[in-house]
Amino acid sequence: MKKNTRKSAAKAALARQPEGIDVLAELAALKAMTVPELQGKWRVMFGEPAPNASRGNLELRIGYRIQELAHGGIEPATRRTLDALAAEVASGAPGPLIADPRRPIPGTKLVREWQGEEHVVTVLTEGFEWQGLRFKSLSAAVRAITGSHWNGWKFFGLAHGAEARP
Amino acid sequence: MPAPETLRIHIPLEIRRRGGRPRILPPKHVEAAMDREQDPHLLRAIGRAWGWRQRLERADVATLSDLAADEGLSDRYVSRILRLAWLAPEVLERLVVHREPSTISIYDLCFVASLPWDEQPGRVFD
Repeated sequence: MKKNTRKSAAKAALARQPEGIDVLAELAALKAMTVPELQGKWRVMFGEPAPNASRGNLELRIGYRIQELAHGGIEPATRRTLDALAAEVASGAPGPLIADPRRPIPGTKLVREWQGEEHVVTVLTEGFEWQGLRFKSLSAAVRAITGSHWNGWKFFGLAHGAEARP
Repeated sequence: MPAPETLRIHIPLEIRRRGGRPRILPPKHVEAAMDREQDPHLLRAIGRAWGWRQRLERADVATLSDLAADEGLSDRYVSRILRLAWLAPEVLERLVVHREPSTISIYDLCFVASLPWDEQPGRVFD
Protein backbone atom coordinates (compact mmCIF):
# COMPACT_ATOMS: atom_id res chain seq x y z
CA MET A 1 0.00 0.00 0.00
CA LYS A 2 2.81 2.33 0.91
CA LYS A 3 4.47 1.60 -2.40
CA ASN A 4 1.46 2.59 -4.47
CA THR A 5 0.99 5.95 -2.79
CA ARG A 6 4.68 6.57 -3.19
CA LYS A 7 4.52 5.90 -6.93
CA SER A 8 1.54 8.10 -7.69
CA ALA A 9 2.94 10.94 -5.59
CA ALA A 10 6.24 10.43 -7.34
CA LYS A 11 4.63 11.08 -10.70
CA ALA A 12 2.93 14.21 -9.42
CA ALA A 13 6.22 15.48 -8.00
CA LEU A 14 8.06 14.82 -11.25
CA ALA A 15 5.57 16.99 -13.11
CA ARG A 16 6.32 19.79 -10.61
CA GLN A 17 10.09 19.56 -10.99
CA PRO A 18 11.14 22.65 -12.94
CA GLU A 19 14.92 22.52 -12.60
CA GLY A 20 15.23 19.14 -14.24
CA ILE A 21 16.76 17.54 -11.15
CA ASP A 22 15.10 14.17 -10.97
CA VAL A 23 15.01 13.93 -7.19
CA LEU A 24 12.71 10.95 -7.04
CA ALA A 25 14.79 8.93 -9.47
CA GLU A 26 17.83 9.68 -7.32
CA LEU A 27 15.97 8.62 -4.18
CA ALA A 28 14.84 5.42 -5.89
CA ALA A 29 18.43 4.74 -6.96
CA LEU A 30 19.52 4.87 -3.30
CA LYS A 31 17.14 2.03 -2.52
CA ALA A 32 18.82 -0.15 -5.14
CA MET A 33 22.35 0.53 -3.86
CA THR A 34 24.35 -1.82 -1.67
CA VAL A 35 25.70 -0.50 1.62
CA PRO A 36 29.26 -0.06 0.22
CA GLU A 37 27.76 1.84 -2.72
CA LEU A 38 25.84 4.05 -0.31
CA GLN A 39 29.06 4.69 1.61
CA GLY A 40 30.71 5.68 -1.67
CA LYS A 41 27.83 8.02 -2.46
CA TRP A 42 28.19 9.54 1.02
CA ARG A 43 31.83 10.28 0.37
CA VAL A 44 30.90 12.05 -2.86
CA MET A 45 28.11 14.11 -1.31
CA PHE A 46 29.67 15.02 2.04
CA GLY A 47 33.36 14.87 1.16
CA GLU A 48 34.15 12.58 4.07
CA PRO A 49 33.85 8.88 4.88
CA ALA A 50 30.45 7.57 5.91
CA PRO A 51 30.02 7.50 9.71
CA ASN A 52 28.65 3.97 9.85
CA ALA A 53 27.23 1.13 7.83
CA SER A 54 23.61 1.49 8.82
CA ARG A 55 21.57 1.28 5.64
CA GLY A 56 18.64 3.22 7.19
CA ASN A 57 20.85 6.07 8.37
CA LEU A 58 22.83 6.32 5.12
CA GLU A 59 19.71 6.31 2.98
CA LEU A 60 17.97 8.89 5.16
CA ARG A 61 20.87 11.32 5.29
CA ILE A 62 21.90 11.05 1.63
CA GLY A 63 18.24 11.33 0.58
CA TYR A 64 17.90 14.42 2.77
CA ARG A 65 20.96 16.02 1.20
CA ILE A 66 19.68 15.32 -2.33
CA GLN A 67 16.36 16.98 -1.53
CA GLU A 68 18.02 19.84 0.33
CA LEU A 69 20.09 20.64 -2.77
CA ALA A 70 17.00 20.49 -4.99
CA HIS A 71 14.37 22.19 -2.81
CA GLY A 72 16.42 24.22 -0.32
CA GLY A 73 16.93 23.56 3.38
CA ILE A 74 15.45 24.78 6.61
CA GLU A 75 14.41 28.43 6.88
CA PRO A 76 16.58 30.46 9.29
CA ALA A 77 13.57 31.25 11.50
CA THR A 78 12.72 27.56 11.83
CA ARG A 79 16.35 26.76 12.56
CA ARG A 80 16.42 29.35 15.33
CA THR A 81 13.26 27.93 16.87
CA LEU A 82 14.72 24.41 16.72
CA ASP A 83 18.00 25.60 18.24
CA ALA A 84 16.11 27.25 21.09
CA LEU A 85 14.01 24.13 21.55
CA ALA A 86 17.10 21.90 21.65
CA ALA A 87 18.76 24.18 24.20
CA GLU A 88 15.64 24.09 26.31
CA VAL A 89 15.48 20.29 26.25
CA ALA A 90 19.21 20.02 27.01
CA SER A 91 18.89 22.34 30.00
CA GLY A 92 16.56 19.82 31.61
CA ALA A 93 14.32 22.54 32.98
CA PRO A 94 10.95 23.32 31.51
CA GLY A 95 11.42 26.43 29.44
CA PRO A 96 9.17 28.91 27.70
CA LEU A 97 8.83 27.04 24.40
CA ILE A 98 7.59 23.76 25.79
CA ALA A 99 6.20 24.46 29.19
CA ASP A 100 4.66 27.93 29.23
CA PRO A 101 1.19 27.66 27.78
CA ARG A 102 0.72 31.40 28.19
CA ARG A 103 3.43 32.10 25.68
CA PRO A 104 2.11 32.74 22.18
CA ILE A 105 4.08 31.44 19.21
CA PRO A 106 6.91 33.62 17.85
CA GLY A 107 5.70 36.32 15.48
CA THR A 108 2.54 37.03 17.45
CA LYS A 109 1.87 40.73 17.96
CA LEU A 110 0.49 41.84 21.30
CA VAL A 111 -1.30 45.15 21.01
CA ARG A 112 -2.40 47.27 23.93
CA GLU A 113 -3.38 50.87 24.25
CA TRP A 114 -1.63 52.59 27.09
CA GLN A 115 -2.30 56.24 28.01
CA GLY A 116 -3.74 57.00 24.61
CA GLU A 117 -0.99 55.36 22.62
CA GLU A 118 -1.05 52.00 20.94
CA HIS A 119 1.89 49.75 21.79
CA VAL A 120 2.82 46.66 19.83
CA VAL A 121 5.07 44.00 21.31
CA THR A 122 6.20 41.17 19.04
CA VAL A 123 6.85 37.72 20.47
CA LEU A 124 10.28 36.48 19.39
CA THR A 125 11.67 32.97 19.60
CA GLU A 126 13.57 34.14 22.62
CA GLY A 127 12.24 37.23 24.28
CA PHE A 128 10.11 40.09 23.06
CA GLU A 129 10.54 43.13 20.85
CA TRP A 130 9.09 46.61 21.35
CA GLN A 131 10.11 49.57 19.18
CA GLY A 132 13.26 47.80 18.05
CA LEU A 133 14.35 46.93 21.57
CA ARG A 134 14.66 43.34 22.74
CA PHE A 135 13.52 42.19 26.14
CA LYS A 136 14.07 38.88 27.88
CA SER A 137 10.68 38.89 29.53
CA LEU A 138 7.33 40.36 28.69
CA SER A 139 7.31 42.14 32.04
CA ALA A 140 10.56 43.92 31.11
CA ALA A 141 8.99 45.11 27.86
CA VAL A 142 5.92 46.35 29.72
CA ARG A 143 8.12 48.16 32.24
CA ALA A 144 9.73 50.00 29.33
CA ILE A 145 6.30 50.96 28.00
CA THR A 146 4.64 52.01 31.24
CA GLY A 147 7.60 52.98 33.39
CA SER A 148 6.25 50.91 36.24
CA HIS A 149 6.28 47.27 37.13
CA TRP A 150 3.54 45.09 35.74
CA ASN A 151 3.11 41.41 35.21
CA GLY A 152 3.56 41.35 31.44
CA TRP A 153 1.15 38.47 30.95
CA LYS A 154 -1.56 40.33 32.86
CA PHE A 155 -0.92 43.58 30.99
CA PHE A 156 -1.66 41.81 27.72
CA GLY A 157 -4.45 39.65 29.10
CA LEU A 158 -2.44 36.45 28.69
CA ALA A 159 -2.31 35.33 32.32
CA HIS A 160 -4.04 32.11 33.26
CA GLY A 161 -7.77 32.60 33.53
CA ALA A 162 -7.38 36.05 32.05
CA GLU A 163 -9.94 35.59 29.29
CA ALA A 164 -12.62 37.37 31.27
CA ARG A 165 -10.46 40.40 32.07
CA PRO A 166 -11.18 43.50 30.05
CA MET B 1 -39.53 87.91 18.87
CA PRO B 2 -39.89 84.20 18.00
CA ALA B 3 -37.86 81.71 19.93
CA PRO B 4 -35.19 79.97 17.87
CA GLU B 5 -36.34 76.58 16.68
CA THR B 6 -33.14 74.78 17.30
CA LEU B 7 -31.06 74.90 20.33
CA ARG B 8 -27.40 74.15 19.83
CA ILE B 9 -25.44 72.66 22.61
CA HIS B 10 -21.79 71.92 22.15
CA ILE B 11 -20.33 69.11 24.16
CA PRO B 12 -16.62 68.56 23.89
CA LEU B 13 -16.16 64.93 23.04
CA GLU B 14 -13.07 62.85 22.93
CA ILE B 15 -13.25 59.46 21.33
CA ARG B 16 -11.45 56.86 23.31
CA ARG B 17 -10.48 53.75 21.51
CA ARG B 18 -11.25 50.39 23.02
CA GLY B 19 -10.59 51.57 26.57
CA GLY B 20 -7.05 50.21 26.66
CA ARG B 21 -8.22 46.70 26.03
CA PRO B 22 -5.39 44.42 24.96
CA ARG B 23 -5.50 42.68 21.64
CA ILE B 24 -3.54 39.74 20.32
CA LEU B 25 -2.77 39.47 16.62
CA PRO B 26 -1.43 36.14 15.45
CA PRO B 27 1.16 36.13 12.66
CA LYS B 28 -0.67 36.05 9.33
CA HIS B 29 0.28 32.55 8.31
CA VAL B 30 -0.81 30.82 11.52
CA GLU B 31 -4.28 32.14 12.18
CA ALA B 32 -5.83 28.70 11.76
CA ALA B 33 -3.49 27.08 14.25
CA MET B 34 -3.80 29.82 16.86
CA ASP B 35 -6.00 28.12 19.42
CA ARG B 36 -4.19 24.79 19.22
CA GLU B 37 -1.32 23.91 21.47
CA GLN B 38 1.47 21.65 20.35
CA ASP B 39 1.91 18.40 22.25
CA PRO B 40 4.78 19.06 24.69
CA HIS B 41 6.05 15.48 24.29
CA LEU B 42 6.37 16.00 20.56
CA LEU B 43 8.19 19.32 21.04
CA ARG B 44 10.52 17.68 23.55
CA ALA B 45 11.28 14.77 21.21
CA ILE B 46 11.99 17.09 18.29
CA GLY B 47 14.14 19.35 20.47
CA ARG B 48 16.11 16.36 21.66
CA ALA B 49 16.58 15.03 18.12
CA TRP B 50 17.66 18.46 16.90
CA GLY B 51 20.21 18.72 19.71
CA TRP B 52 21.61 15.33 18.73
CA ARG B 53 21.77 16.36 15.08
CA GLN B 54 23.78 19.42 16.12
CA ARG B 55 26.19 17.26 18.13
CA LEU B 56 26.74 14.97 15.13
CA GLU B 57 27.14 17.88 12.71
CA ARG B 58 29.75 19.66 14.76
CA ALA B 59 31.49 16.29 15.24
CA ASP B 60 31.08 16.50 19.00
CA VAL B 61 30.32 12.77 18.79
CA ALA B 62 31.53 10.74 15.83
CA THR B 63 28.91 8.06 15.49
CA LEU B 64 25.42 7.25 16.49
CA SER B 65 26.65 4.55 18.90
CA ASP B 66 28.93 7.08 20.60
CA LEU B 67 25.98 9.41 20.92
CA ALA B 68 23.78 6.67 22.40
CA ALA B 69 26.50 5.64 24.83
CA ASP B 70 27.03 9.26 25.85
CA GLU B 71 23.32 9.77 26.47
CA GLY B 72 23.00 6.42 28.23
CA LEU B 73 20.30 5.29 25.79
CA SER B 74 20.01 2.37 23.42
CA ASP B 75 21.24 2.65 19.84
CA ARG B 76 17.85 1.67 18.54
CA TYR B 77 16.06 4.38 20.47
CA VAL B 78 18.54 7.10 19.55
CA SER B 79 18.53 6.23 15.86
CA ARG B 80 14.73 6.22 15.79
CA ILE B 81 14.20 9.54 17.59
CA LEU B 82 17.09 11.13 15.69
CA ARG B 83 15.12 10.69 12.46
CA LEU B 84 12.81 13.50 13.64
CA ALA B 85 15.64 15.98 13.04
CA TRP B 86 15.70 14.96 9.37
CA LEU B 87 12.01 15.42 8.70
CA ALA B 88 11.25 17.63 5.69
CA PRO B 89 11.86 21.32 6.53
CA GLU B 90 8.22 22.13 5.82
CA VAL B 91 7.04 19.53 8.34
CA LEU B 92 9.40 20.75 11.06
CA GLU B 93 8.36 24.35 10.44
CA ARG B 94 4.67 23.51 10.69
CA LEU B 95 5.14 21.45 13.85
CA VAL B 96 7.53 23.69 15.73
CA VAL B 97 6.90 27.24 14.49
CA HIS B 98 3.23 27.12 13.50
CA ARG B 99 2.45 24.47 16.10
CA GLU B 100 0.11 22.52 13.89
CA PRO B 101 -0.87 19.28 15.54
CA SER B 102 0.29 16.01 14.03
CA THR B 103 -2.37 13.41 13.38
CA ILE B 104 0.06 10.52 13.91
CA SER B 105 2.03 9.28 16.92
CA ILE B 106 5.61 10.32 17.65
CA TYR B 107 6.63 6.72 16.92
CA ASP B 108 5.11 6.82 13.43
CA LEU B 109 6.41 10.34 12.85
CA CYS B 110 9.99 9.06 13.16
CA PHE B 111 9.51 6.88 10.09
CA VAL B 112 7.91 9.62 7.99
CA ALA B 113 11.41 11.07 7.56
CA SER B 114 12.16 8.28 5.07
CA LEU B 115 9.42 9.41 2.70
CA PRO B 116 10.16 11.91 -0.08
CA TRP B 117 9.63 15.46 1.20
CA ASP B 118 6.58 16.02 -1.00
CA GLU B 119 4.71 13.19 0.66
CA GLN B 120 5.54 14.03 4.24
CA PRO B 121 3.07 16.87 5.01
CA GLY B 122 0.15 14.72 3.83
CA ARG B 123 1.15 11.92 6.17
CA VAL B 124 1.68 14.13 9.21
CA PHE B 125 -1.16 16.64 9.05
CA ASP B 126 -4.03 15.08 7.08
